[in-house]
Order: sequence, then structure tokens, then C-alpha cells
Amino acid sequence: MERSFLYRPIPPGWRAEWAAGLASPIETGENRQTRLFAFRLGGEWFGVDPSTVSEVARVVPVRSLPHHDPGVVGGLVSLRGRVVVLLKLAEFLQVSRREADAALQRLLIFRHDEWQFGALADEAAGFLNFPAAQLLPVPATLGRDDTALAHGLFARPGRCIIWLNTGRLFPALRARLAR
Amino acid sequence: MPSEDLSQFSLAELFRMEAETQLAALSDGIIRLETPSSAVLDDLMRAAHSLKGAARVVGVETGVRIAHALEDVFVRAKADPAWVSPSMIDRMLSGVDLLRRVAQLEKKAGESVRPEEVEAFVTHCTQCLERAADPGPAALRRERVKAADAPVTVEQTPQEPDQRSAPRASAPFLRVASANLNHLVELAGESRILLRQLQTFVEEARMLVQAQHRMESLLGHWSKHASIDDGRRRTVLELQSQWHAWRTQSLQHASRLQDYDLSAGLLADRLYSEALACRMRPFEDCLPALRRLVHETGRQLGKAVRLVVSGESTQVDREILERLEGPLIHLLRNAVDHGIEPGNDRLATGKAVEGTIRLAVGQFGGRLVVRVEDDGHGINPDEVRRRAVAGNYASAEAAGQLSPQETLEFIFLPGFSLRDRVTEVSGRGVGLDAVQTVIRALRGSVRLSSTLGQGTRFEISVPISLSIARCLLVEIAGEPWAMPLSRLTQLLQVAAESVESIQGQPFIRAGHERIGLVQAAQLLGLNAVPVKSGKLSVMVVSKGGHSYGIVVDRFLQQVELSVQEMPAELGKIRHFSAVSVLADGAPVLLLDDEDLISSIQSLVAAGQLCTGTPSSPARAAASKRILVVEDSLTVRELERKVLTGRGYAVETATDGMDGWNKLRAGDFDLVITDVDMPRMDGIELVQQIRATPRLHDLAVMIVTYKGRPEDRRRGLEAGADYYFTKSSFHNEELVRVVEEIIGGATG
Repeated sequence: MERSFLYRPIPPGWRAEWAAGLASPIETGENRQTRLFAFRLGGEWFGVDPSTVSEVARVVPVRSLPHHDPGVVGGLVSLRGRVVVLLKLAEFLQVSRREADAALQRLLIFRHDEWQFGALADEAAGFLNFPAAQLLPVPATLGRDDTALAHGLFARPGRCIIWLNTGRLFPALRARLAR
Repeated sequence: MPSEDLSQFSLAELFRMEAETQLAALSDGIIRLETPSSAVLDDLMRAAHSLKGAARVVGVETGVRIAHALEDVFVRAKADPAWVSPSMIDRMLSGVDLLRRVAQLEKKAGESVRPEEVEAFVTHCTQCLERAADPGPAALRRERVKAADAPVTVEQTPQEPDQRSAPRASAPFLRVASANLNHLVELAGESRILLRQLQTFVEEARMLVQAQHRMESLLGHWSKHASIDDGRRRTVLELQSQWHAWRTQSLQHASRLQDYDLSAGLLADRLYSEALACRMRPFEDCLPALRRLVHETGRQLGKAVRLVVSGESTQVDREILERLEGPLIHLLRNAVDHGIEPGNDRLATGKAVEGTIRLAVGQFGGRLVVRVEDDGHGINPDEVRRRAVAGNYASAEAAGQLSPQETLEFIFLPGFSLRDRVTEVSGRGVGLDAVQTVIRALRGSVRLSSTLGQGTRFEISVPISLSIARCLLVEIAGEPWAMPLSRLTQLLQVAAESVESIQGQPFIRAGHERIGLVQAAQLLGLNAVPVKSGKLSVMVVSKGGHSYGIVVDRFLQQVELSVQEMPAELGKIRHFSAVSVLADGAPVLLLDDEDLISSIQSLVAAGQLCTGTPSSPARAAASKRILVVEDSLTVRELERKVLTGRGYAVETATDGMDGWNKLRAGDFDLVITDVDMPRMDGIELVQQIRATPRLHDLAVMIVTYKGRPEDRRRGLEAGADYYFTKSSFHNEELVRVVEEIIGGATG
């Protein structure tokens, strides 16, 4: 098995982040932590409730669907014999894509109720903890109409992580599909 | 448990489940009769009655008799609860025990219910009732039922149903949700795909052995070389013997790996077929309900009808079996009502009083064929013709020209009926079209034939399983697609020159038939790929007597695919019926012939049929030509595939020099080149192109890993129109850029 699947270069500030995390007092009501699965689309980082991500896989061949409105459907992928619809999450969230590093790209499989779909992430960072009290509102200046799709954001030095409200995002995606 | 999904159980299993519940209620209630109670008797009557009905459905006649006898006693007791004596309670309990054995609830080996035991019980119950001063209403009712039963016999299969269920009872059943089963099949399929990759490792191990062998013989030659001294020779010989040991070890390793691959592959195949087999059930599971139907319909209409079944052990996909039941019920009811004549009419024509309906089931050529055949009066084509004209289904002239066989097809039309009188059983003109709809939805067909005076035959043909489809893999626009074999009329490989044309519409001749051609790529909205060989690969599909030839790039291979439904959230996607996964793990779409045919028909109607055949020179010339210069085989083939898929004509070159030669010889619209290549690199190639007047305006695109700004500048300064970094290599992106530079493939 290739090891690099689980190995990534340590991002800047990672050690300090962990040190700070380990040094912080044991969790009580006030310093409750929010645990998110973090991934990157284009230049932006997003986080979702870990329970909504059922799998992180290597990128597999994508089969496009002729005649299908290209809207949010990226095509079909096969995940251990099961065919799953690939959705263009970045396009839906209006994130501008930039040149992606194929080695970092991952296929994320999301699960919502009984519905399962895949989306390509340009990078998956795994699970991260954030002090719940540090949740900031999504700035209205973001220029996107997706403020309703986010709980808020956690600011970190050098990067912000938008905590997606999957309870709204997934039904919105599904509704777009049904169109 | 009304909310529970019981659909995966056979009727026999359901009967056992029901018997368990009802028998418990019976024992309990009978014991409570020691204190006479009208309410308890109500419960007992209900339980006995339900059990009787259930036994009848599954054809357990002994169960019906015992339950019926019990019911009569309960009905009589209801009139006077005090009538029940303690000895009668014991008798009734013995009846319950008898029923328990009939229903196979207790697995006592070798213990089956003897007919005399049943007779003794029934006789005793009858005696009890006769001893009672007033003959209860139930006894009368039973007499009536017996009379009505008389003309009808339902032929038993060689085995009694209750005996048949005996071996099943010894193998316990588990309830498994069908979703779990489907998932199991998918996982088994995946494991097969995954294990197939072991072959790559075996191949690699073999290559390693070969390399070691070469090294060993090289050392052998060296050791014999005259110019080396003895000391060195010894070292070389030592090295050679060491290398030999390594090679032997590698060889063992490779052969172990090969054995492992073989057994793992076999295991995965077996697992897969076992998982698939879990979805199969014997046809006989739907028989009891059909037998009962024939029996009751016959009784209702006062006709003596015998149902003869053959091939009942044929294994059928559970889902198909369920969906076939409705059409079969319809056809059997029709056969009793429309087909079989009343007894007197039969006698008058020299037939036996008893009509016979034959239900034959079997697998033929990978399909399940079910035949329903009666020996009744048959269908008169003239009568069908008359009604078709009267009902405005066809003009008198058109109907007159139809063959008897074609005429019969009218009875599949909605609303068409041969009956003037609507009965409770049939004649509403609803049904045969519904039968056809269900069968078509199962990717099957239904055929009708009839001989006047001798009988009518319906033949249903459906796939054995909905989850497996035998398909032909074809390449369209550079990608594989699957066409279910069952929907293909024929496959043709014809010379491009043999394509003729009428009013701009291309066609070929196959026998006496002219088959109009249409490109698969056009139907699917893909860009056609020019075919280099002079042969056209044509899939012929037919509907309503018309055949259409769908031209594909080439036929790949025949495969058996495990079919999955299209993800529900996408809804129905035009031209595709289902989706599957190929052996390499890539998804593949199954073509829907009905959709394809309707698209062809609308294209023809709109006069938009693309008239060029893929190999016609005009078409090939219309495609833009691209030269891909790239030393990496993978990248080269990937680019070729992606661009070919979009309809471009692509040629490849392995390095700058090769590319330069091809450029001078041919005519291209675009050159896509790598930078780092042996002999002549990409930058030199671009400089050469720009220095040649003829090629001065040729579009050039550089595709490279070198993403530094200075690399980019160097490429663009040499004269490239576009600098594309491979780290951003997305198929879509490449096509987008190519389209930006030279437009679409044929634009």
C-alpha cells in the first residue's frame, strides 16, 4: 500500500496549533470544541460535520453523462462497485478553481440521510478542532449568496475555514439536481 | 408485523409463519373453551378460517381439510357454546397438532402426516356434528362447497406441495433485506475487480525474474572473458551463483503469486455467483397462487379446467418473478374465461370435457421463457379484424391486408376486447396491453399465436435476472458504452463503400432489407470520431417492423455486467437505461434502445439525420487535425483519447524530431507538444515551426510540468500560442483550451 495516501507535508503553524491545543484546559461548557472535517476547494477551506463524510478516496476515473444538464453533475464514479454521482461542489459554492495539484486531490463521499454523493476536493486536511466560542459570522462582503449555507467561519492565521451547514447545503444540492 | 417487508419470502414460508401464529391462537382458544364463551369461539373461527385460506393458497390440501373441519365444529359450537364437551376439546387439540405437523412447524425427521390420520380426524368432526340434534349451518355450507368443487381438478406437480417444503424446513431461512443482498452483490463484484489487479503484480514479478536471468547470463559471459584475471573471475562467478540463487527465489515468489492470483480469482468468481444466486428463486414459488386462481376461476365459470405445469424448478430472479405474477394471473384468467369452451361445447367438438392449460417454464438462450397455452377454441383472426375496424383501430382496407398473425396483435391494444359482455372475470379490454407494458418494462417480449379450434398460446420471454445483463461493449466517440444483447437484432461490419444513399439518407442492404444508418455519436450528442479502417461497425435495432443501423466506432467485446439502476436523484437520463461497472472499475452506461430508436425517428422526421458516414472522406476532412508530440506514452495516449473523444482527428509523435517529420508531411490545425523530449525538444520544435513559412500560422500549444514563470516565458517567446502546465491537467481543461485555440472538432 502506498503510504503517501495518508501522508501530507505538515502545514505551516501545525505544530504550534497542536501544542496550543494540547496545552489548553480540559473542555468545559465554555471552551467546547467544534470538530470538523476540513477540505479545500480552489483557494478556500471548508469544514463539515465529520458524520456527513463517509469516505475519503483517491480520485477515480469520472464518467460524464451526455445529455445531462451540466449544472452541478460532474459525472459518475464507481466506489467499490457502487456507482455514485459526482457533484461539482466548488461550482455550486461558486469557488473559483485554480490549478490543482493532482497528488493532493481527493474524492470525498458525503452521506445525507440515505443519499450518497461524491465531490472532488483539491485537498483534504482531515479532522480539526475549533473552540466553538470562536465561531465568526460569515462576512456579508463575501459576495456570495451562500451565507445561509454556512454556520459561520473559524479564522486561523493564514486561512479561514467556512463551516458549511450541511443540513441546508445537501438539500439545496439535491433540489438543484431535481431541476 | 404489517410494516415488515415480507416480499423476499416464498408463499410456503409465509404460510409457515402464519400457521405458527394461528395455531398458537387455536390451541390457546380451544383450551379456553372449557369455560364456554362465544367471544373465544369468534376468535377460533377466524383463526381456523384464515389458516384454511392460507393452506389453500399454498396448495396444502390436507391443511385445508383439517382447518375446514375445525371451522365447522367452531361454527356449530357458536350456536350453543355449552355443546362443546371435554373429549371434543381433546379431539380439536389433536387436530391442531395435526395441522402443526402439516405445516412442518416441528422438524421430526421422517414424520409426515398420513392420509388416514386426516380422514380419522375429519370423520370424527363430522360425527360430532351429526350427533348434534340440529345440523349446523356450517355442515350445509360445506356440502355446497363440495358440489361446486366437483368439476375442477387442479393437477398436482409430481410432488405434493407439503412434502416439497419438507427439505426446506430442515434448512433454516434467514430474513435478509433485499438492499443488503444487493450490496453484497456489489461488494462481491468489487472484490472481483480488485483481485483482477493481482495479475499486474504477477506480470511485474515475471519481469523481475527475466531481468535477473539477463543479469545472470551477462555475468556468465563476463566470467568467460579472456582478459580478466583469475581472482576477478572467481568474484564474478560468485556473483553469478548468488544471482542465480536470487533468480530461483524470485521465480518461486512469482509462481506462488500466480497460484495465489488464480485461487483468489476463482474464489472471487464463486463468491460473486453465489451472491447473485441468493437473488434467485424457483418459479414454483409463484405457483400456488396461480393454481388457486385457475381453480377458482373455473369454479366461478362452471368450467372444468386442469392446470399442467412443467419446469417449475427453473431459477428466476426474485424481482422478475414478482413482476411476472400479475401478467401470468391475467393470462391464466383469460385462458379459463376466453380460451376454454364450456364443457358441452367441448364435447360437441370432440374434445375432453376438461380443458387443459399448460404452463411451461424454462431457460432458453439466457432468457426465461414462460408459455401459457390452452386447448380452447382459439382466436378467430376474422373476428379480430372485424372488431378492429368497428372500433376504429384500423381501416377496413388496412385490416384486410394484415396476415392472421399481424391481426392478432390488435388484442394487445389498450381498450381492445373480443367480448361484448363485461364479466367479473374479464372482457373489459383492460389487461393485455397492461401485460405487454409490464413485460416490456422487464426488457422482455410477449408473443401470441393461436389456431382456430385448437387453442391459444402466449409466450413471454424476459431476462433471467434484472441484475445481470449480457451486453456488447462498443466504442462511441472514444469511450466504451454497453448495449444489452437482448435488444440487438444483428451486428454488421460493412465496407464503407457499400453504404448507399437515398435523398441524402445513408443506408445499407442486409438481405432484402434496407437499413438506414445513423451515427451513435450524433444520437448521444458526442463528437464523432473519424474511423480510419474502411469498415463500419453497425448495431441493428428494430421496432415495429423497422430496423435502424447505429454506427459505432468499433465493437469491443461481449461482457456480462452487474446492472445498477441509475442514481435516482438524476431522474431518467435520455438514451440510458442503467449503469454498471467494468472490470477495470470504470462506470459504464447501458444504452436504452427504445430511447435511441425514438431519437432516430425524430431525427429522421426533422430531416436532421447526419448524412455522412464516419468514414466518408468529407467527414474526415471536416474534423480538425491535431498533432500530439509527447515522449511519455501515458500522457500521449491520454491526450489522444481525450481529444479523439471530442471528435478531433489526432496523430501522435514520440519526440520533437518525429513530430517535425509528421508536420512537414501532413496538414494540421494544432500542435500540442511537451518541452523535455529526446532528440528535439519542444522549444526547438516551436522555433522550427515558426521559422517555416508554410507552418507560420499553425497553432501551437505547450503542455509541460515546468510551471515556473521563466519556463512559461521561454515557451511563449519561442512562439507557442498557449502554455499549459501539466499539474493542472484536467481533461476538460485541455479540451476547453483546444477549443479556445482552434474551435470545435468540426466547427
